[in-house]
Amino acid sequence: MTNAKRTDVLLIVGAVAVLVSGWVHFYLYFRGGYRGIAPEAIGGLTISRSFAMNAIAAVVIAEGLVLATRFRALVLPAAAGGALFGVATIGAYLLSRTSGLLGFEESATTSKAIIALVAEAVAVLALTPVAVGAVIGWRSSPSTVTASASTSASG
Amino acid sequence: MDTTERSRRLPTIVLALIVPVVAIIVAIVTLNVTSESSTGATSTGVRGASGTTITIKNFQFAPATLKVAAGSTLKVVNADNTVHTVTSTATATKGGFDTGHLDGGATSTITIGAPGRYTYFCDIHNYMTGVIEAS
Repeated sequence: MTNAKRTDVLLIVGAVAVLVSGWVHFYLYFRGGYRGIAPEAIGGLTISRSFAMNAIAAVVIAEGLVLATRFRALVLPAAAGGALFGVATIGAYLLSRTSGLLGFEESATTSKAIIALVAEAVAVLALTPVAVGAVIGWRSSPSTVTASASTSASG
Repeated sequence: MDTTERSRRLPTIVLALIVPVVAIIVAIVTLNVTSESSTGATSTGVRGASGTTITIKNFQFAPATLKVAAGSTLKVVNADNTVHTVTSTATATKGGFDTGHLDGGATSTITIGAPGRYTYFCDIHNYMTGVIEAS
């Protein structure tokens, strides 16, 4: 498998994983009872709204990841965004299990939480090497990457 | 990239539409196939402040304050799709109760013994609180 194909596979795996995490948050928002909970708000952000934002962000990032298979200039921002999404979502969950997040504490482990955690871990594992590889490639020859990106975009 | 490989690629517009179309379909299916388990729960009868059912919905106990006769057995309905508990702050020796973990859609019962005011909470989401006044 060539590097380009390997990158494409990792981008697609990452996109699916991010979408799965987003779906769990979407489901919990509309069907899990999380739509109306707001024990605390910081700058208008509540635990309820953070679930909605997670679902929307997942779709945007997944779109970027899929498009990155065609437009190479998107590889770094999309892969980095996907990896950060995974890390941030796992971090938010761990906060809710320990010190609390936006006044919300969770002490039970549900099947949805496990699905989301696995998906987020897959996203981080798939997309971090892609993002790191893109950074290394850009630092070693930024003009090549730019040229490659524009060639890909025009093709 | 050779012509053969290029011709095998999806058109960019199709590629760009994959994620939004999948997201819309999944969202529609999720909202239509799944339902809030409250549909069944509300039919079990939330009678307001003097009923015999505590319903958990949207991370809230309803009614927030329930007036019952001492010795009553109350039904607890978890109408959320996540785990909750109804746990009294009083110990078992002082008439306390605890449903334990109630999965989404599950029901349980608790018995209120002596007259008194019982405060309770969800042991998983401890900002969720309610009161039972037994007379």
